[in-house]
Amino acid sequence: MVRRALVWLALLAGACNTDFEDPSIVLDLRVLGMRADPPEIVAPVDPEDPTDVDLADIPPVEVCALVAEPDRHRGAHYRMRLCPPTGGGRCEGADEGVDEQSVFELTEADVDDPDLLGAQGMCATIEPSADLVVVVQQSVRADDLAGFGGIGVQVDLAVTPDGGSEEDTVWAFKRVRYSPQLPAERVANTNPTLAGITGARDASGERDRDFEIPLGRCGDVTPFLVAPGERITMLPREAEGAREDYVLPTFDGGERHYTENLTYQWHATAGEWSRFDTGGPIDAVGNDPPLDSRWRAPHDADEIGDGLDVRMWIVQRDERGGQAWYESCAHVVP
Amino acid sequence: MRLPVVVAVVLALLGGSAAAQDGARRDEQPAPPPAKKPVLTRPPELVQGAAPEYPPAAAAAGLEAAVKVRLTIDATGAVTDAVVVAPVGNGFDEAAVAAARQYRFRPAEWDGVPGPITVETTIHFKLEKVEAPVERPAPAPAARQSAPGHAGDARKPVTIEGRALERGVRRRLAGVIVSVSELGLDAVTDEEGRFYFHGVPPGKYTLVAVDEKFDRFRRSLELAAGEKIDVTLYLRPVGGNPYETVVEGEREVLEVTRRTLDRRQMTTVPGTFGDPIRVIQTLPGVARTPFGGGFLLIRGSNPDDSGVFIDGHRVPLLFHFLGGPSILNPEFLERIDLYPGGFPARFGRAHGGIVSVETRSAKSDGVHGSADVDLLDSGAYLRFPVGEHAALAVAGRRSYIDKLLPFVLPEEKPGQTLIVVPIYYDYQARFDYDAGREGKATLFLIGSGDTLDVLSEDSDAEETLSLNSAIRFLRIIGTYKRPVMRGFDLTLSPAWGRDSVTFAASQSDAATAFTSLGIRQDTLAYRMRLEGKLVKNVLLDAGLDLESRVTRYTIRAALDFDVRTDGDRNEPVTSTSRATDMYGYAAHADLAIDLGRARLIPGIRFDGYLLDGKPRYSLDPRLVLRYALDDHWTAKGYIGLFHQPPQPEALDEQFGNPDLGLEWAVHTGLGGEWKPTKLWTADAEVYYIDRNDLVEFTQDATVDPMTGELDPVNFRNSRIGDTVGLEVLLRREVTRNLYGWLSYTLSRTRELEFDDSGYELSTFDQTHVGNAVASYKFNNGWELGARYRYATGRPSTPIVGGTFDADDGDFRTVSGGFRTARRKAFQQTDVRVEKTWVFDTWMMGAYLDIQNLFNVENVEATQYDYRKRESAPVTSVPFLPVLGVRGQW
Repeated sequence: MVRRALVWLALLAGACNTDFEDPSIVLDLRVLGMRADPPEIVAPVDPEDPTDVDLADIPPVEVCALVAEPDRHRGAHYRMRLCPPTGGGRCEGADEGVDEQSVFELTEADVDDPDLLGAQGMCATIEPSADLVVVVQQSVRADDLAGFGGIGVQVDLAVTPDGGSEEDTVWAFKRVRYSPQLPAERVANTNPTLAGITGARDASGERDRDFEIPLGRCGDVTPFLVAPGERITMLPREAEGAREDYVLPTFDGGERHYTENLTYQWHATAGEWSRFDTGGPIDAVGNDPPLDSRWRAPHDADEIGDGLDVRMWIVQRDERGGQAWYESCAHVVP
Repeated sequence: MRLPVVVAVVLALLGGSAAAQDGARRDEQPAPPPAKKPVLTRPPELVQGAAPEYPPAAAAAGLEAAVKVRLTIDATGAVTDAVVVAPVGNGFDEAAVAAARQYRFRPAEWDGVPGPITVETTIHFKLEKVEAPVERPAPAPAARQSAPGHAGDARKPVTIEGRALERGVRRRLAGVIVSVSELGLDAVTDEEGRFYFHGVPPGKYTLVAVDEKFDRFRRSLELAAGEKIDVTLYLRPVGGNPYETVVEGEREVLEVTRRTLDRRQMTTVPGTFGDPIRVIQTLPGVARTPFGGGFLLIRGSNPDDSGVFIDGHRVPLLFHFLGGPSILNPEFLERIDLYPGGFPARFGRAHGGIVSVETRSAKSDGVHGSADVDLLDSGAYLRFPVGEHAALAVAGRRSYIDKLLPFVLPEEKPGQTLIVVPIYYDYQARFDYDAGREGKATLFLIGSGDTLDVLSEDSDAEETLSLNSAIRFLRIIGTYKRPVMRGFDLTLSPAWGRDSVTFAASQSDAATAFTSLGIRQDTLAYRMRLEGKLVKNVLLDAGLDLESRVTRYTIRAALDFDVRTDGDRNEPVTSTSRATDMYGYAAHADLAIDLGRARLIPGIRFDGYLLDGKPRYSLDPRLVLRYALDDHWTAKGYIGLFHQPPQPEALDEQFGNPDLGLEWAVHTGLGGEWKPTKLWTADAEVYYIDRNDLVEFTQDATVDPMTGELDPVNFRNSRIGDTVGLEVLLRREVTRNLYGWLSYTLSRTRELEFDDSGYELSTFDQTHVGNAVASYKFNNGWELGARYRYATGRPSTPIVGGTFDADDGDFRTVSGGFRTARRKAFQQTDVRVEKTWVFDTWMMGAYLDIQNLFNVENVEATQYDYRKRESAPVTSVPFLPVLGVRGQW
């Protein structure tokens, strides 16, 4: 008992500080989010056979990806596929040991105009079809809990920049949930929303001069101006009802009621964030994690040059697969 | 003028053997079968010597000699025969024999019973120059010879008396010949090291103390009229303080492979910080632990599969948290035995290997102690007699890393607070009572603690942390041993123990913990053991082994086990208390049957359990065969079945699986031992271990057909594994100045989990493990040692990329084949330099122990960046010098 715990603590205790990239700063092509609309389908099913799905109760689901390319100088080729969940998030190997095909291509296309990369969104639609039924059934069979409470089917995304090789491909995946309507009052999740983001300029450590962070891409919206090294604290303002109440079944046939937590991830093409992840549930020591993050503008004169546009993305998530994202633009004045 | 002085060195034993019964030399016996050998429990002690007559012709010719004489001593301590081994002539041989026949001994004891023995001694005839001749009174007639320790005319009062002690440690030395050279008087020190000279008239004299193991000691004194002088003679061991070379009789062999470290080897291996238990990790069959951690990986088994015993009772761990020093002061250690496999039936409830630690008696001839100070901790030990029949030893240690840490932690920024307080400590006490024929009783207490407290506050981050963790354990072990009928020894040993692990985390200003874990295990055990000779060629070692173990868990956390665990929800904080219990009872027996050259050792162990109220049984037969091909070669083989109960947490009704069965393994092996000389041993063994019904975690669930409720399985007996290997050990025994060994292990350990398609290497598999250890003690108090270690890197699963999880905002690892790669091999050289200064009443040593002398970068693990593209190694100890100082008295 004691020795087994010590083995794993010994293995974990060696972690050291390194000079790895900061995940909050986007330096090259990255997928920052994937959103399904709707993120969850709740359908009436026979509890005796949860794999028996009536397609008439299943609406189409559009899955879109937020792809960030800081320089916007090249297009990309992308592909989305539908399959049962895999450990690594890619659909390779999802049909191993299975007699029938269970990996289906949803879309494969090019985005030629680099200015449209990220703006157009890379999207695909999951139609209610026999392919979907096969994937759901395979997912339930592979699940340790046989789909109890709902199952997530996997959509993977591979994005290869123009002129890039397989090594340059970035991968992402999302799970779209298909849940039985158990308990009876269960309703499907919806994607969260924001009323806006408040910016506050820190002056000598005190907040003052609040302003509304403009939401939109650089070039489409007037950026907010900052001085080199200036700190801006950004606080998301959640729309009323953004944190939905929901119910889940328990193993003993009962139910549990919850209220959603919302989390935020903060990205920029330059500068640094005080927190990459904010929000979420109470942590293991009882802290209620703050929602805001403070961005410090770059201060290197060579980097700023005659003025630097900094792209920002804020990704909002709930704990049931719901997602939304917002883009902004800051201009660093030398 | 030169006077003849005769020096008789202390006896060197030939070693006990059954052949000693008839006084013949062991190597002159007819070719073995090596019969069962009785154990020499007490060597003979010279209580009355006799100064031989220097041959006049040889003295006149200025001749000197050393005559080696073989003595046969009977069960009463009388010399029944004295034979010159290598005659030197000139009358020396006859003079030596004549004197030796007058020696009187306290007889040797075999298995506690006086018996005859054959020994060798060397009598030196040396001519000494004296400064000023004095009138020599005639030696007292033999009829007036005094009791042991006394010399001179017993009718006269004692005028010179004293004591012979070993310099530095003040050990009382018996059997030392102390001479008043001017008078030709010789006294042999008694058990207390005391000597008495009667009727020495006033004058100047020279006392000469002689013993084979010590440098010759001379002390001048002047006796005034009517005066009595009491002197203390501090004798220095020959060659400084050598490794102690007490020759012990052979112990009975009831297992196929046992590797033993005695106290002399334990404290000076480089890189182990004088920690004997760490020396085990350099023996064959023991793999290297990640980060040099303090658990044992024996022949491919997991740490939980091997048992660690102190004086016959199992303890949870031997080292302080995360690989600190061991929890037992080296002064308490008598020996450590490693059984890498095929261990005797008295050890059970484990299917890996066994480490058995025997503690040392507190028996003492005075107040002795030691103190250690190094960069990390300090400790002290004290041992003293209590009355005539008892003794007490106590020890303790405490770290002071917490005082040094503030100097190395990063500077706090404004608004930040970071306080880290790691502390470890341990304490031991042992009380021994010798009731003579009624037996010996011992009470041993050992405890240790490791605590880590962290306080972190950051006003900018708006998050605070208070973390308190502790691991503690305590054992109280009683032992009563006495001889019973027909040469058997009976040992009764109760023990009680408490182990606890606590963890609590909260915000820094919170009154109670937000997340906490408490585990407490109470153990009550009783062992009974009967050992002895059943008939002429059959030894028996049998006994009972009872143990109860109650484990209590208290968990407070934001967890809900009744819903599917996906998504970061705000779960309500709940407190859960659980308990599991194990009651075990066992009977075991090993027989050692001598059949000519062969020794057959069948063993059987029956275990019964109540695991949380559910009965389980196992019957473990074992068979060992040793065959002496000749005096130097022994072949060996074994097969045995070993069972082990699941860990307590795996049996819990809610979080575990109370229907789990016992894990088991079959050990098989073949090997040989070669002992070309008394000093060298080579040992090789190939082995195969087949493991079954191992417990593994599962996410499976069963559905109740009546209610439809889902019931997680949690654990099941579905994992199997095996290990095949070769071990080689080449060892030089401890002598006065030198010891060392070379060990090599070639092995492969693999496992197969439920639903897996094929075997995979286990996480701790290391193909090659090699150790070279040597230490040399110079005669001027300096000691130099070195250790080289090599180990194949552990299996690893290569990471080939990452996939962004859009729902979590994190990256999933995309792996290559499971455990298809290996980390870079580990290699490290450690050295140790020590200097010892010996004073009359105490000794001091200073040492420099350097780990990783060549600063090799050994990779223990690999860190990856957030998207698994960049990696950085996590390395183990760099060049690390540790200075220490030790005092002993």
